[in-house]
Amino acid sequence: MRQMCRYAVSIILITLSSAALAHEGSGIAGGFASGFMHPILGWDHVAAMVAVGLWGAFLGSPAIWILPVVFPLVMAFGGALGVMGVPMPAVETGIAASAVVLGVMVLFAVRPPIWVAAVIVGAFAVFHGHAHGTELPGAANAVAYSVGFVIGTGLLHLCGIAFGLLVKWPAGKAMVRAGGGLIALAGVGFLTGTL
Amino acid sequence: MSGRWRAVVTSGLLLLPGTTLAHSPIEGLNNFYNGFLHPIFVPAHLLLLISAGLLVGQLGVRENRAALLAFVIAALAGLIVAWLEPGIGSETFILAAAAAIGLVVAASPRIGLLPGVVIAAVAGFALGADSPQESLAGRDKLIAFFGTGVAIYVLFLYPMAMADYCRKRTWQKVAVRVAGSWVAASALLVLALAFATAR
Repeated sequence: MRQMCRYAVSIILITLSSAALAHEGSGIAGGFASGFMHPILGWDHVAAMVAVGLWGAFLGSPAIWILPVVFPLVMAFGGALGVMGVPMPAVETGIAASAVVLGVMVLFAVRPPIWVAAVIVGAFAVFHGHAHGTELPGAANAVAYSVGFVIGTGLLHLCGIAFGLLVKWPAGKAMVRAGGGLIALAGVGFLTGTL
Repeated sequence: MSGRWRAVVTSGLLLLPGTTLAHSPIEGLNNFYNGFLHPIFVPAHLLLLISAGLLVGQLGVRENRAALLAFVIAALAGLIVAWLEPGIGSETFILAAAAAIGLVVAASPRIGLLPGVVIAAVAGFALGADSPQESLAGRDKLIAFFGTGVAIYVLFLYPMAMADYCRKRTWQKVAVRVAGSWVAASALLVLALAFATAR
């Protein structure tokens, strides 16, 4: 019985210990990792990026490839504003609103002209870029951080596009629209602070 | 064998192995690999290599062999300049070039043979000129430069071959443009940071 107690205590102590990381977040690898994880660990970013991909897939060609090309470039512009310390009001609100608006677009299968879609997506990209850009000066390696977060953002778009390709089938279309609805709901949660 | 002899032999054997380096690219590597890893460890160089390679591949390697040749000769010239005048290279210029070429790849306009050659030559020269091995001299420096030259050429070939392979395929062609926009976005952000820091 005493031995079992010892085992139990040992197991509990083992589970309590935190992971030892051999490669700490410094240098190129640290900069890349922190940049890569920045959009992925922020649920508001994830929701909006996936929604961009979903909407692009819903709109079909050429929107499916124009939006992922336009977004990083406009986001870089927003990031440059953030890096240079240009203040932008209500950045977090803008990011949350992007999830609501883009989610609603997917939910109701809105198909505006391509330039309107690009302007909507581009406008929100500025908010997302600004949020990333303000983190850049503190990054371990600025270039690696930028590369990491642009790739992270792009891969989130890709997730949305891959899921959005289900629109080829009627059931898939319903699922994609439901996904848009969920993203819009999450956006409302971000806006009201409940999420 | 007595206990004392065993201890002596064991101690002797323990002294024999050399240092084990978990990450040897810098300390344990010879000069060739040190030079070879230079463009890989400088993310700005990698961005320019990717964007320039994507551009030449996007234009078509068969039709733009002159651009490939121009890149190789210009990179060699840049390395010679770096040897003679180590401080001439500029990372800011390399980032600006990566951003500009990335934008061209993203826009994918029809550009002629001459602009392609000029862009490839500028990229190659800038990369070579910004790769000085200031801490080395003589034969060691020559070997390190050789490694850097090989790496610049190899790292240029990969994106070029990929973009050339993708240029006749609908989806893959788009992927190349997206990659161009990623490079441009990353480089633009760091340029903004450099500008903000310089103010």
